[in-house]
Amino acid sequence: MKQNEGIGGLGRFAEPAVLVLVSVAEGPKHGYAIAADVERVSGVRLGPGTLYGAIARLEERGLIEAVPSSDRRRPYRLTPSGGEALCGHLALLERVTAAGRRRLARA
Amino acid sequence: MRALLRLYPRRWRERYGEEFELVLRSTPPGPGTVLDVVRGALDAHLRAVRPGPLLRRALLVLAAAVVGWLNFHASDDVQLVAAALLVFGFGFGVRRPGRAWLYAVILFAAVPLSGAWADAVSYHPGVAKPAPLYESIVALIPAMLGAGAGAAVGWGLRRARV
Repeated sequence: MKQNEGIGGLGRFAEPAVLVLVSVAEGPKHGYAIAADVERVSGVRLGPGTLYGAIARLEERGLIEAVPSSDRRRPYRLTPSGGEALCGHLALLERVTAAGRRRLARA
Repeated sequence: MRALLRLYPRRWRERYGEEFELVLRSTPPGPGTVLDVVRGALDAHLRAVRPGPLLRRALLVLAAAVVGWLNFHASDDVQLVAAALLVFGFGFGVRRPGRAWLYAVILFAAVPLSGAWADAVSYHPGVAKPAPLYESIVALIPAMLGAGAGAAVGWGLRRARV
């Protein structure tokens, strides 16, 4: 298990993982609902392989967890450490975005 | 499309198979979807066999010991030592591309160490005049070449998995 490793260790899987975290930050969602929400919010269509690659990594790191359900479609929810990791990552993105905007304005 | 699920490891299918299949069924079929699922399956297999840090360290020590043993018993013919450095360097480079250089250095270190040990016990089978120890620096070449090639393949695989 790679509990609490955060988003940094996800390498090139970080982007789909962040999109999944943003989606479940709204509330528990199953795989199909996550894919639909990600497409609505970001315009990115996550294929099933990419989506479940990200879900498996996030679950392994304890950033999301499956909600007990009798439905075949198992919902996932954000864990407290997932919330912290997402907050940290979004803050980083905000800093990068702000720096990029400032530099573009000066160019 | 359902047959694609069979590409995934059994344990992965037991955990995610049912819900994955539901998502797959609602995804428009096409080459893009097939490619995405094949990449996902490859990734799941690679993750399933990925050794943990402790196991990787144990394997590294074992590999360095093999290199040292081969070098200790080598005569003038050092091809086996070079081949072992290439193969082990490649293997560790694939697993951890970012640390490939470190694995290469550790594997290489087994050569001068075992050479120093052979000098200390005067064990030089089939060698009339043992080469000076500093010449073992050339062993860095196959170690770095193997690890570098492994790192290139490792990074390529990671890129293909997304």
